[in-house]
Amino acid sequence: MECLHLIPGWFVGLNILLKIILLIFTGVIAYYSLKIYRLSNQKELKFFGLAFSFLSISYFITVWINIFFLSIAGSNIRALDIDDIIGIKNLAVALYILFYMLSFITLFYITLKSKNLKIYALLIFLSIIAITFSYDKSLMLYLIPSIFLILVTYYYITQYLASKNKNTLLVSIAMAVLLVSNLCMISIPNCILPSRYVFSAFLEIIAYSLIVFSLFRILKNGKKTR
Amino acid sequence: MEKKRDRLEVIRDILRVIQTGSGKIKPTQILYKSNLSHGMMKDYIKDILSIGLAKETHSKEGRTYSITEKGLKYISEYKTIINFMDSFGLVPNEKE
Repeated sequence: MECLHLIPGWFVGLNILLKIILLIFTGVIAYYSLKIYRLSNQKELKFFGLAFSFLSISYFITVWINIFFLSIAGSNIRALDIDDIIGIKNLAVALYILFYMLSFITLFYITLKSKNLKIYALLIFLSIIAITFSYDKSLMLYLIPSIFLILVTYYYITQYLASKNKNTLLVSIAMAVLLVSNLCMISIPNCILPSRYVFSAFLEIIAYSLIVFSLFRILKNGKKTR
Repeated sequence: MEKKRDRLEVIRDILRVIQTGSGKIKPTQILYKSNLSHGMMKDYIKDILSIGLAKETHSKEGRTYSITEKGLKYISEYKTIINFMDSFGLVPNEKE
């Protein structure tokens, strides 16, 4: 049995609520991106929409995991672990990992500005191989997205410096906050600090709120100029 | 950075030309009003038709184009499309 992360007992209910909010936030971003894609046929919009759809699906699965599959790991502490037996719980955890990774791989692929889908396939393949054969899946689950997030954050900062667009600045900050949120999870040594999960969860909410706020500004501006 | 924005802008301009043609506009009129080469206009028209922003009709008068609901939506949402792409760093590669 391998522990992916620990959650304080008091936080489980609140965590479900936070993940539902994240599911909605990421779903809204995906919806607008794909809606604009259908009008313009710009492939970057399709991938951006896909990245946030994957995130939304991963949060949907997290909600179910938090409701049904957390085990008791001590007094007032719950754990998400991978059993040795193949079952629904392991399938749910595997799907969560897959969609979570896919979202950051897709975001990173957008920043490459490549038309070559083989690169995208290679990124997915290597990431899955790395996590499947890793002895510490908890570490890899947050380390791989963190590496992608470092590059994505750098990309958005350079985009902001070139354009001085306030919305891009908000997205840059959001990506940096998301990176810190992931790094917090990496630094948990063998799941002994469940309070870090709480901190990481709140950082996630801040990050996606900033992105949704940017989206709100874009839509508001679009209505004004119509 | 500018090239793809130009693509979206050119599509909007062509759609505006089609829109002013009161439902029936010939390719020659689009060519004249959109200030594009024949080859480029053909590519853009192909793009516009494949997305469903306009539709082509064959009649005795020849080929004519009319704007669709989706095309009208494109014109009205154009600013949002550009802002969305700029804000989220979705500007495509210059080489495309």
